Amino acid sequence: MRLLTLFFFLFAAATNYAQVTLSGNVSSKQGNPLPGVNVYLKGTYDGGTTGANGLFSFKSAQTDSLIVVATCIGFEPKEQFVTDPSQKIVFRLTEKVNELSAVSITAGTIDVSDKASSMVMKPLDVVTTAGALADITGALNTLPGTATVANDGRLFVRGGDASETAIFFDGLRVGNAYGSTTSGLPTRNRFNAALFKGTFFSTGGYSAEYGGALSSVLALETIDEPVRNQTDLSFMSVGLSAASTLVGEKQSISAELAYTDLNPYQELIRQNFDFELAPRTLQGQALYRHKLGNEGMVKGFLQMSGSQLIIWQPQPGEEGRGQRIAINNTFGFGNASYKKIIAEKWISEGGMSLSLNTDNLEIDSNKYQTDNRLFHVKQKLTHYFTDALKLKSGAEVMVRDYKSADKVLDLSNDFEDIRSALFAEVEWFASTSLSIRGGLRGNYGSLNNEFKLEPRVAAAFRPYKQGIISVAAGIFSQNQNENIQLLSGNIADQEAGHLQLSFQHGSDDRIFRIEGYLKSYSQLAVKTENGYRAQGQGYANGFDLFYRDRTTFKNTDFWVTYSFVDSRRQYEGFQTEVQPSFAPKHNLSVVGKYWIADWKSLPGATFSWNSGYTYDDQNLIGEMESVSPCYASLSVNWSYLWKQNLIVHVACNNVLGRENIFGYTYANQPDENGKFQSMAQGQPAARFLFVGVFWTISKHKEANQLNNL
Amino acid sequence: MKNQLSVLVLFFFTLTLSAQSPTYQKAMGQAMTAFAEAQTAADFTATANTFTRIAAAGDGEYLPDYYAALSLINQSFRVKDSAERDQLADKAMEHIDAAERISPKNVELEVLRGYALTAKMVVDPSTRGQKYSPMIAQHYGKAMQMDPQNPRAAAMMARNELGVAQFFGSEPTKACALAGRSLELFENETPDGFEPRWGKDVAMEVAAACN
Repeated sequence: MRLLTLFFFLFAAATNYAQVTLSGNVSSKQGNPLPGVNVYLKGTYDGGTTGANGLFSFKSAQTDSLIVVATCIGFEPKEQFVTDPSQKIVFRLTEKVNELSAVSITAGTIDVSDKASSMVMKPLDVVTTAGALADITGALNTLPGTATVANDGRLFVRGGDASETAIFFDGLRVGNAYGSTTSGLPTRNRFNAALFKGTFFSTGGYSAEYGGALSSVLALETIDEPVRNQTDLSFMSVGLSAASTLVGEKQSISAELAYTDLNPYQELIRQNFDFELAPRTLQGQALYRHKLGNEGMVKGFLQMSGSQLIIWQPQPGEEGRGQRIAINNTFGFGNASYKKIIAEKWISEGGMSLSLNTDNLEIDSNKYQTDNRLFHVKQKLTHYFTDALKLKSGAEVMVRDYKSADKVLDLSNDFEDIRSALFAEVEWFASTSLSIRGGLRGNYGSLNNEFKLEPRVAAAFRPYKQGIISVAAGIFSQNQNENIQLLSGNIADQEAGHLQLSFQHGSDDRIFRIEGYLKSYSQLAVKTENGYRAQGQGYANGFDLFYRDRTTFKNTDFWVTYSFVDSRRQYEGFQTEVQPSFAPKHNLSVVGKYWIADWKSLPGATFSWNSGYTYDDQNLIGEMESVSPCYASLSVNWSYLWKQNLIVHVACNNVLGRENIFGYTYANQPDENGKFQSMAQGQPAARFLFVGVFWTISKHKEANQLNNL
Repeated sequence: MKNQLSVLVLFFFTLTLSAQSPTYQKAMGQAMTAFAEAQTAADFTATANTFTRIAAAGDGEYLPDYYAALSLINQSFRVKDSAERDQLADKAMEHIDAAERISPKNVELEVLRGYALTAKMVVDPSTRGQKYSPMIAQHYGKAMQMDPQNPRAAAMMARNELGVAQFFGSEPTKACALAGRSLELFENETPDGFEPRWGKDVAMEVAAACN
């Protein structure tokens, strides 16, 4: 009986619910109807989803305290109190503005990552771009703003020399990031591309966070979390390497030992260069990572390497083998960095690095030793006042020690330069289509007792969904090169002013970018009767075009880059402003890759061309008045996935064997006819051939070394 | 007296049940029907929204978040824009995280995580495959370890293995064995209430490719 009452009571309660219908529409701030919005009564299951026209309608049994909520991915949620359910409910949602949704600054910026927005270059491109031979620098040399200087191998950005690009490893500066070599013999970046999850490359107008870089910044970021335990073995025509990764719950370690030796290769294939000992390098490295909480991380990295080479360089106007040059290099780099969320909306990052480089150089019977030491410590705090407003500030100290010794004469000279800097930068995402960045950097150098303030600004605007207009400007400075500092310790720093404007139109599979820039140089070191003086001026003006397409042709990915640079500067021994040898006027790269599924193969080709390098003909009046023939090189490669864990990679650089000339060297004295004898600066060999087999051993058999070719 | 007390207890018990369970049951029931019938991206937006509402009410059940995530993954596979696909897969991941807080070490969530990562990978397979495919295999592998009887873990792993075998032109022996095993497991699976029961078509698809 009582149970019956109970059921009756429940039943009555249930039927007592009166139903109301709530309806209305949702639109964006701009008035466009928003489909897919979740509109519901707070604290209930009752709700609905807006249709294509932004309209919604749903029923509810609730009759009082009607709080209606509207949520949609990418928009700020909104709620409103409804007093009269018969009235139409209108929502206007504002887009969520934060770092992810806001338009990013594209002027001078190339972000190499697997993010959907990184359309210019992906990390895998480093290993699959023909001609690059898995060298980060080689791949970046196919991008806008760079000039290929194939007899050097380093990065030359917008009329700047290679020293004007500062290289950072997990936020900390690397000294001597390229292997030591002698003139005419191209070098490589010391770091294995497989270490990095992403690369930030700026060709100008970069953030106030970066100093000591006149033209460009290359920031390499190591992988946070490797996915599994594995061992990689590589057998290459130029050496061997073994790498292993162990992954734990919170920590992981990767280590690699590599030996490269070009001697066997050069025994087999005749070279234009006269090597007594072709370059050989033994290198070991280890990377340790430890997770701190949810987003935090501590990383430690260590690399050591030793390399040697002996080469005979014929001298113009002289008989015989020429000059014997022997280089013995030892390099060590240690880096410890951390990132931690210290409180809500506060991120703390920092670390320290030490680079040690010793070059023992023998030129005939002369013996020299140079020691470079670079210590960098940095602390950075990022605070988000709101999702749309962030302040980045930090302090850093860089200590550079340089020593140069003549071991025969037993003479040596050295200096220590301590650079301290403070920086602060505000980034404001005004809306999803407007971002503004402004920063200030203060530098102090102990050696020249110089204090400098460097303002930097940048902005980006999205006129329509796929387009971005971006501008960046700033003042940049950098110490003079070591040998000049050694001679004139108090010499002022070199300075540059950047201004650039870029336009980008891109979808996921296709992107076009054009960027124009003006760069002025001042206080370049010039040799005078009274030593070096910071009185050289110069400029580099130009524009870059870039087009990449992964969709028009099936299974084909290609990009075309054209960079024009008009650059002149007075520097070193030049009396007038000249076009530097490392700044060819017209630069073109065409890169293509084609995936052949049936053959499990990825063949690729890269064509690089430029209008030639300037050189100073000693037999002509004027300075740097001559230009070498244009440079052209076609490189091809082929990656074949033999088995799931076995990749074969074959590559040939300059496959057509074109004899490129980079300029001429002249005898110090004129001959009996009053003419300076000359000698062409050519390539080490017409072609470079590479064959490698990459084998991965892992419990997961699908693992391979595609990222490691 | 004792009798009265037990009725009172029963009364409150029924009351609390009726205050939550039937509405939850009803809402989930309707949502599951809509989910089963969903075809287009818009359909899955609607089901994702419904499950999100149920999850937001906070009944201490992991399933609303589970199905919200599954809806978002399905939606992600059906839209074109890469950024949106990423956004949807990321949102799905948030729901999986939420579900895992309610029901830690759940084999179904492990499978779903692998599936969500698949959605992220297919946005740009040539670039992301290298990083994501081992992660995906790891989640399916872990799920199979956690519960060897779970048919979805076996089915998803089978599809993964089939893809690998097709790519390398090798015999899909392992994929076929897994699909067969998965189908067997589906035969014996008797899911309670709204517990996941999807995936048989995946196993059948792999099995069909084997024949």
